[in-house]
Amino acid sequence: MKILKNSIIGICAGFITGLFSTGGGMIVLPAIIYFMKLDEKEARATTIFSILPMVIVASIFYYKDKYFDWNLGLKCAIGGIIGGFLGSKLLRRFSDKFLKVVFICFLVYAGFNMLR
Amino acid sequence: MEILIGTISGIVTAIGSGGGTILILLLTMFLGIPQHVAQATNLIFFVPTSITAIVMNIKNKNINFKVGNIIILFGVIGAIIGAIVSSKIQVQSLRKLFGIFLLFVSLHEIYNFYNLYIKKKNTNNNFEYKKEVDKNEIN
Repeated sequence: MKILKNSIIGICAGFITGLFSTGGGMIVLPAIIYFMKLDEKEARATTIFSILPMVIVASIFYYKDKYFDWNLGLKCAIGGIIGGFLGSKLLRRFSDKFLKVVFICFLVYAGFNMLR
Repeated sequence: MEILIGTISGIVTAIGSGGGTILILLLTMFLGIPQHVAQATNLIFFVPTSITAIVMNIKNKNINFKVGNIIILFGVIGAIIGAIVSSKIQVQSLRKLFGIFLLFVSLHEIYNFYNLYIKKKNTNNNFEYKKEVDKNEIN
């Protein structure tokens, strides 16, 4: 039963990762917390571990289709390192609750924007 | 501008999950990058950060390999199917699907938010208190 649940989680997450290149973690993380009863820390670690191979496989397909823009990727990565540092050090001063509200509002706005 | 967008996504990633989604959104909405290219950029962005995280987590023995291995096996199959569908599909429909997906994600986030801050107010107060203590220690 556990294997069946895990394989369904895997297929769904992989499909979303391949299709959108993001969001697989948003499926795996809650799914293994609810169905496999992993605690938050273990679940987060296992999620990143299991998403990486899916991302690499998806990358091969995107690379073959020539969707890679290395210049853009490099600039974003530089920003990402700065952001990761800022996020872990400085933003502890802001409340997580406030940031979550901003995040959710942005997601809803963007979601409707994409549908138009 | 690209660096700023990367910075924002990095911040979101550091706080929780969803950095990749934000990266794709900002690239397509503000720079007009095509959806497929934005998604590929997110893949480049994800690999180095996640490898660092995985190495740290292996050291701390946080990964449940029994659960992870099965998810990987089927996840890779799913990823191949997803990537093929993604390359065949029209950009407009891909964006629409992405929009629907985002709305589902936001519903889930709202549900989480409700559980975390509204339903369990008492435990949350405890948590806030702990954070205050941490802050003082850092300062």
